[in-house]
Amino acid sequence: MQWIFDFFNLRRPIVVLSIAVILSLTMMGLRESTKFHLAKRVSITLFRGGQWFFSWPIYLSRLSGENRFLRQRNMELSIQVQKLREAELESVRLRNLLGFRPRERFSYLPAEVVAEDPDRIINAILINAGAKDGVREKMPVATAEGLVGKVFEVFPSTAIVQLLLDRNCRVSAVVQSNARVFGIVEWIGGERFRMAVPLRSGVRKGDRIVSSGMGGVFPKGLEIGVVEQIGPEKMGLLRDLIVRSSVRFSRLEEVFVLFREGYDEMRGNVGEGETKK
Amino acid sequence: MRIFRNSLWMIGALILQSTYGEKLSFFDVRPDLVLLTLAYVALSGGQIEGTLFGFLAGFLQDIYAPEQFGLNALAKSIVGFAVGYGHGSIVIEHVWTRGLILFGAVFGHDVLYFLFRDDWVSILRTGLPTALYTTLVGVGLSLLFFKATGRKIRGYAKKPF
Repeated sequence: MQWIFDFFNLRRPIVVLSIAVILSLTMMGLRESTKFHLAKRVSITLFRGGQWFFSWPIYLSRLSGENRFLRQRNMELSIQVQKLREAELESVRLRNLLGFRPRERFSYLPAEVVAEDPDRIINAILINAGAKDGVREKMPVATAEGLVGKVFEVFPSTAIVQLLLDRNCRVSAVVQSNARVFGIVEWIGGERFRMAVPLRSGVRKGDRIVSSGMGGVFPKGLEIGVVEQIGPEKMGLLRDLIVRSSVRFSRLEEVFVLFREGYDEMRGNVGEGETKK
Repeated sequence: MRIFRNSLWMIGALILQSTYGEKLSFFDVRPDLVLLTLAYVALSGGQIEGTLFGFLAGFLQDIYAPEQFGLNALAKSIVGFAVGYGHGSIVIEHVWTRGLILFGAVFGHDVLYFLFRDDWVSILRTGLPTALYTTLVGVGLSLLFFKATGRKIRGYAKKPF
């Protein structure tokens, strides 16, 4: 037994090199998909470590200012909540009178944006909440300003959020005015979206566009943007609305993952259109 | 302390290589700042340090080019080990010796790298100019650095050769 220790002591550089070579060759021999997956996981872990290391002094220095701002904002919102509570009670009474089902309730999980576009394939952000926090694929993500996107991929303590600024992320929306026109919102570049609506829909510049709740992924009533421009008619049937996003995607720092209360448990923790892994 | 300092050098080289590497290119040839730093680390720290730093630096580069996952780690580990042999056994005071070691390190790395990729042409087309350019940059930088600080290069002969 002693000779093994002697060998390792005497030939330490060779042993270290052999381990490095074996590890490298093993990595080279991995399947393509495993290589990409491993590279992605390591880069995300590094991003997260780097973000934590470099951001906490900045975070501490900003804390007192943020605290003051939040206290003031809290006061404003408390007053607003009191008014809205009255309105909600009134709404519940009226809904009961009409026999409507009660609306879905949501709880919010706050998360910080730790990296932008880590995936390189989709337009996405990385947040510091993951499977351990109960986050699952296709959960809606929003800020106080409005809808941000949906959870695309979940890791143990992080998740990739596909932004609305992605051509593959389309949202069923409704114009929040007397027009109540439905349509699909899709990204066209920058922080702008397009929504095709019927020609004579009565939509005006400045009308708010909110999610319609159709499709099951995004809840109803989350703001997407404001109509900035009303386009010319298309084939005599439709016209495009150019919608400016309510969320400033270039300045995203904190977001909220929306949990439907009781909904996910009811469905066996599996979201719409996804399979349990 | 030396490991911490070498880690900082290596991280700095990786960041520089990935951000300003393109700007330093001359006729499409870029100096390999990571190998330059690895040669310095291996010469000052020895074979074990050279191998470990080579492996880690290569691994970090592999993450950003997963098509050849593991190849950078392999080539740099071997180069780190080989250059580390010079620690305490080669006199590196002379500018030509330093240049030769650096040239050998970069060219050896590229030979290994392109051999595994089965790309023989690139050994001469890319490997040789990169090795020459990196050697020039490395020798120039070390001359400037040691002239500016007035320090002696740490390198001495333990055994005569």
